[in-house]
Amino acid sequence: MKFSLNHIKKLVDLSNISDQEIIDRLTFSGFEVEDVVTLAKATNLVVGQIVECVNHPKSDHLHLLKVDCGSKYGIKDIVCGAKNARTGLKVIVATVGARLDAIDATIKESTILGYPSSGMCCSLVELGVDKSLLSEKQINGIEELDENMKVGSENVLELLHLDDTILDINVLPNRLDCLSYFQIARELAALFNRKIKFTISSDISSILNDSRKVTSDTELCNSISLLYVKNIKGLKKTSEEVKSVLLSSGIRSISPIVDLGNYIMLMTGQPINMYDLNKLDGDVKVTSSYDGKFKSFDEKEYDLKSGDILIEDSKKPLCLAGIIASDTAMINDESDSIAIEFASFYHANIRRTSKRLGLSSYSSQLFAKGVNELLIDDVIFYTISILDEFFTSYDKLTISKYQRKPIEKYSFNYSLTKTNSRLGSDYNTAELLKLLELYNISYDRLNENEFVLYPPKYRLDLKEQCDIDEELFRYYGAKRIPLNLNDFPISKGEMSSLKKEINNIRSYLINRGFLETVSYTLIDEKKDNLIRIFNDSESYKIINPMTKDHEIVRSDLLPSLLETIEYNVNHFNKDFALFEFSSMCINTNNNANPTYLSLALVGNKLLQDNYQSRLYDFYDMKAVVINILNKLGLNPDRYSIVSSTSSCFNPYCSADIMIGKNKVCSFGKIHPSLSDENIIMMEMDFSAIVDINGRVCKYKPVADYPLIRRDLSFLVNDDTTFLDIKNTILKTKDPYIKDVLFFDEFTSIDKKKYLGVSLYMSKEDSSLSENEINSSFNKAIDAVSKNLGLTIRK
Amino acid sequence: MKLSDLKEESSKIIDEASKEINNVNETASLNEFKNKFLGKKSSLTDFYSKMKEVIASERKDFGLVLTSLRDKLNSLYDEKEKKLKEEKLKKKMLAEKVDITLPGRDMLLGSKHPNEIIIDDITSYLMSLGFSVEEGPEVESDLNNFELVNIPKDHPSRDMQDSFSINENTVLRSHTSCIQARVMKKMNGTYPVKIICPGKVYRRDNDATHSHEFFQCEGLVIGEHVTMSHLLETLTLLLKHLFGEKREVRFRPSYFPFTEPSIEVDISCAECNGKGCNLCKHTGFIEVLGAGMVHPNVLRMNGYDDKKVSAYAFGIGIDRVAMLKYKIEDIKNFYTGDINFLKQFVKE
Repeated sequence: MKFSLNHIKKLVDLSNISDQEIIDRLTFSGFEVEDVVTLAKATNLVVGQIVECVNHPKSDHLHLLKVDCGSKYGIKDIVCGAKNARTGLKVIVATVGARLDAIDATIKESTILGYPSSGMCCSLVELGVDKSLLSEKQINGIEELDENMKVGSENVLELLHLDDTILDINVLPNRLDCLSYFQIARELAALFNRKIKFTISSDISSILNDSRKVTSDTELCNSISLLYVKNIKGLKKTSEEVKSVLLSSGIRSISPIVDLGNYIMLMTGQPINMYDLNKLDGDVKVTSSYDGKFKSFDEKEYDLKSGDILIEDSKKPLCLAGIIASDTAMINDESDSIAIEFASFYHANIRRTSKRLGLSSYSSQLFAKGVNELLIDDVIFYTISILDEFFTSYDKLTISKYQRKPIEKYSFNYSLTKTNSRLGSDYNTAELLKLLELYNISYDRLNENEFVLYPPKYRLDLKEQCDIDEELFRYYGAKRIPLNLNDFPISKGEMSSLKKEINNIRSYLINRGFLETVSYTLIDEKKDNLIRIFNDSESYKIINPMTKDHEIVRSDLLPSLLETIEYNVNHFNKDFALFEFSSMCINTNNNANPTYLSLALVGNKLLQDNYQSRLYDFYDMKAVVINILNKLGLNPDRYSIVSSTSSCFNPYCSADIMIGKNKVCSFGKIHPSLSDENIIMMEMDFSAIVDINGRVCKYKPVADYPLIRRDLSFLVNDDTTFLDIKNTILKTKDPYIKDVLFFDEFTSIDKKKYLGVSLYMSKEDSSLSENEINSSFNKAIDAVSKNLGLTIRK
Repeated sequence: MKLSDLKEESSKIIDEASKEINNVNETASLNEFKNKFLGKKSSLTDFYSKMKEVIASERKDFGLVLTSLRDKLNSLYDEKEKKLKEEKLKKKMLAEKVDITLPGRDMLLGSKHPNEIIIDDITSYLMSLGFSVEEGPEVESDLNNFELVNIPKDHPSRDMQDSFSINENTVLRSHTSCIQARVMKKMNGTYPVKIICPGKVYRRDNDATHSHEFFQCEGLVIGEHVTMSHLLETLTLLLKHLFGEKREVRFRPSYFPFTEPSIEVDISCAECNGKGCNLCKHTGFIEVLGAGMVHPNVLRMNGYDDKKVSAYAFGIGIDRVAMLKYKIEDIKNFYTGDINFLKQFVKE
């Protein structure tokens, strides 16, 4: 809330305390002073009166003015472009030497189109007042001063209540009471141990009861009163003081009656509503079971439901409580009798209704936070006390009061020992008693350190022990708490195996040249449908998204990865490798939260600097995938590699890793319908693999006799796989053939494809003889030739 | 043979050898040289065979002259042999000459995302103080995200965070504080509890310093004598670890629904050293985290006896720490994945 510091100072004695001290004390007592604004800033101003106004002969809009600036300055010639300049008008004159920060100008003697000008008539905009606080007329012309202003007065800002500093204080939900001038003044009085300068009572017993009945048939309105002001005569002009309070809070002055309501709200924190008494029919009732249409004063229709709180008289709805009025009993400039409503509505319902209908105002926000019904009589008392400032005369006041359930006062037990043990502090009883006195908290003392506390009715936030912990901490500050770890619980820091494996693989990938990215979890619905790797279940959908682009909780990482790749390619980054780890939220019955890993290889394999070696391909990705599986302890016999069924890949250049029937990883070259770029992607259900966990390194003695290698090159057709050849050779169960490895793939000039494999042979107890080697070698060739029909390259 | 003859012959041979060695520039001609002057058919070998014919009085000197001739020829040979070897090596090395300014051929180094750098830093530091790392889902119940951390339905404190909803009872977690409810449920009233939980959170918020998705790290300690003193000391240690010993740490009373008393924690601005500049909005300090003593309601609602135990909690914004540490101005950089951004963190 924005507060006028001048106005605060009228409510509490802050003499000899600098503005900065006030700001600092608030800041270190739990109030965030978000902004400090000087309302207006200008020097060398004087009140002047235009005594002559003629058109400038050489201009179509300038005037030549003679302005009487009082005895000290005399009559000044001023060239002025304002449309509203006219003889007799009292104006603000910036004299020669005046500094106007808002327009970054210093006024000098000058000549404008041949005529001398020694001064400037100002608008409030030029004095630095924010445009949002001014009317169209004020923005477009010079300020028209009240005719009672004395010519020659130099304290112009003060006279206009513009010599003010506005504090924008972020009042947090524990101190909602401070959304009012009275409460912030009480708070400052306590913080600086100063006296408040106002008195408010709740004694309104002298006001006569009106014959009109006001009731509520719902517990959502526990308290409502109508104060009747009849036969109002002589609306006074809203005073500059009230105007400046409204202005400070960003509320424009509209008419004395409306201003009265807004002023009471700012002072007390209680929003009030007003009705034209002549338009009220019979008794007034609050209900929450109205079902039907409600038409607001601006002719808009709203469907009301049970739970919306409506105020009605015997014939018609009057007001959607706390939110918006109907025009059926609205006050206007002709209203001479009014009813002022003071009520408390259950905050949650105001909140829900206001949210549902999209109707929010300063007062609905206050109601939605909850008003303090203990203070309603105080607010009525205060309202009565200022009526005379707005109206010249009115009939004797009457009131209709309704209270559904009596309001209970409360108390609680408090122990200073407990505070000290919880905060690690050493507050003594003298400090506590000082605090209780400053904050008007009454008490019964049970023993040295134990009390029963009775907080004042305007502090609903004080309900239990820890609330006093907070008051002490706030008042005496964090510097009173010693810093230590004495008796801090000792424990062992641990981390899940999943987190450990993520860190392990993250290091591996970084060392292999991958850049880690983090992308948005919320994605576009189309992208979510485009790529699915591990399941087809419907993703979680946000019911209140900010934009359509971020509406779906992704079920796979590849849509985001592809977006990141596209972003980079569009920004001329062509060759790179990316990875992302992310915890997922899959919309399945068992609320799965797996961790997925995604990888991308894009463009050329990039060595240091911009050193391009060749295009990334499927096998680059496969190597990374197999290394990750290996590092996670998954031996090749635990999984199978099959052609991928994921539609986002080129089906001839992609693979899935299966553990049993479960797909745990899918990788390959992107489907050409998705992108023309050279993109190899992978997605892995990382946590599923970590869960299998088989990592034990088993030692085997190193062989004494050398492993013999013999290379073979087979002429193959398109459908032959390396695995076919390997398995065929291993099936011979030759005692010396230990392994068959791939070493090369090669296409000859006449387009024949050859596949090179190496046989590794050894014997446990001696070296192999040349005969033994040749025999095994030939056995392998024969088996491949017989079973696969392949010949070797001579 | 006379000594005088030998001396004459010897000097002739040396002259001839010295001339010839100059023409030698490969191993073959060096071998020829060796055969000619030091081989079996050389004059030198011939002179040795004539030793016995020399008269006894001259024999000693004769021997000395011969030795000197042999040494001289050997040294001519050795020098040349060494020189040839050196030339050969140099030639071999020249063939391997490189441009030392060309790039190396290994893979580029990849890099860790700045958020992960900060998370790792916080995690390893706090694990050394005995904190364990917990995790929880990002799609969270309204119960855990709000109600069990003392934010009842329709409470004004719900206005402090605008969350994304999936349905009436499910939200995307708007803070990592929901982990408090999860951990307390898991621990079932037992203590001590000392955990942190880094992770992604979601709020309906978007500008240069706010993203609708960002990272937080929650901290929670429950024990018999957990105090505000412990909290302030833990945070001071952590922040000085993250931002350097020179930074001043400042605590301001504040409000969060799940803690009371609550604090906001500021560090002195690294840019201006607390004097005031644009970065710190002329306050000299920058807000980095929120914390407080866990509200007794939270302990009670989650199965702990607030008369027996006390607890502290804190929540630190990871992106914010990274932005301050690396002076990153726009939070969008963290999530667009521009490789020119990502590559800058290769040293971490």
